[in-house]
Amino acid sequence: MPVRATQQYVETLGYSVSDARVTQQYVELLTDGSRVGTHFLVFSEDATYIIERTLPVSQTLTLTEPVDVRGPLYMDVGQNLNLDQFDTQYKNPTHEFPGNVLDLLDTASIGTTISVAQMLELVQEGRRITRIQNVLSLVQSVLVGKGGLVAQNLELVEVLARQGIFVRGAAQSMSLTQSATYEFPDDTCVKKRYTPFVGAGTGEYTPPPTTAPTLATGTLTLTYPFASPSSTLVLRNPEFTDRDMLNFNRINRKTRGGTLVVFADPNWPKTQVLSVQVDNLSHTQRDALITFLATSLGKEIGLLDWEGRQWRGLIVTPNLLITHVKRGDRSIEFDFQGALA
Amino acid sequence: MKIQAPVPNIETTTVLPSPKFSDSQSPQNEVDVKQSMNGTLYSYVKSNARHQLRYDLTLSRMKALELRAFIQSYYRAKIRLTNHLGEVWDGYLTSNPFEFNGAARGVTTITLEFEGILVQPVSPSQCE
Repeated sequence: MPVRATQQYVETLGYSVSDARVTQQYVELLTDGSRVGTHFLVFSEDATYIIERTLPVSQTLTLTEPVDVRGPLYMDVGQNLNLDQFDTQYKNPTHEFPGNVLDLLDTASIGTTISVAQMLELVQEGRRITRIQNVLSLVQSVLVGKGGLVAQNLELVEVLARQGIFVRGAAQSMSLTQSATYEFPDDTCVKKRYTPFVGAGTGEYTPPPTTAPTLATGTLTLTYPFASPSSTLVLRNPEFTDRDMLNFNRINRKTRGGTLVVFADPNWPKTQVLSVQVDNLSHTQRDALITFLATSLGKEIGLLDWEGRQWRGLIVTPNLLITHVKRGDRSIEFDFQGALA
Repeated sequence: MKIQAPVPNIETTTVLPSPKFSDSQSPQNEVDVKQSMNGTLYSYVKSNARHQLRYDLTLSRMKALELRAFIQSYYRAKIRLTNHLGEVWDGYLTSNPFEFNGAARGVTTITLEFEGILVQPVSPSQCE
């Protein structure tokens, strides 16, 4: 026969000047050690204060539930500590914010090699008279006015501490990245001007520059060599329908599941090709162009385009076509491969 | 229209004007039809959620330079495209090469090809 002993103390510690009554209750339950122990301890603390509105109200509930296991025990031992704390305000003053702080620490340890479970539960319960809403959220936001200094930190820390050496290894993985972007969709010029909205990222990619390139007006000018030009050829600006082509080496693969995977190493070559057509060249310009091509064939030249941008590269169409359209009117079309200097 | 990159850690947003008409969308399913010697028809289907989108854009010169810089930065990254209908797509720009054509003074045209999956459709009530 298991021995069961129950002992209860009810102690009145005193009375306050108001209608509050403070009591302390201590209950101890002993179970037979030869049986499987099931130990329930229900402890509640309820205090009702009738005080002035200006006085602070503090209520502290400390609950400790220890479980000691002695000797070999080949079964799981679980220890759950559930702690709920809620505030109910029937008259919510407009100038105060009801605070509800729940600190919860749940630990479990055992000296044997059977499984140990540790569980932390957070339960938030909201009660109001007209509307019941239960929300548990982790939100961090910042709202500042113009010119304010913005600092926003969100920290999630996951720590695994090893307090012993066991046969099983310990592993911990936590992947957390953050990025930020923004846009001003109401700006009427956002679809016309150079306005990339560049925030902050992981650093894997180099974002585009936020300042617009400076464009000017110029005349198509070819120079050779690029470093210290000794030969210069000035042509008319090309016709419309010029093409600026960006060519990237990428690998496109489709998996068995139908997912498109695109990979490219940033060090793989990227080519930029300008394809232009120049009309109305004179006989003299044609001769100068042929001479320039013969001199700079396969070598790096400079190209100053009609927007004042300096390129360096080479002409990749050595057999370009010079068409004699009519008297004093010759047309050429060539491709230039290079990069902005 | 709006393109953002890289997905999922988006750091750059570029707002573009709406594309011209004749934009297109095509699903990327595949059907392989085989006929046996006795005349029986067999069809093998490879279906997926990918669609190819094609947009013709007419841009100002500065906006074209912005798009050019965006492509140079994120040509190998997954991007998010929010089209003129409000649909949100995740995928890749598959044009190669990207051709910026000088159509007129200060006007540049480009055809963007995009292949990806629809992550946020637009309900009919939003379109009406």
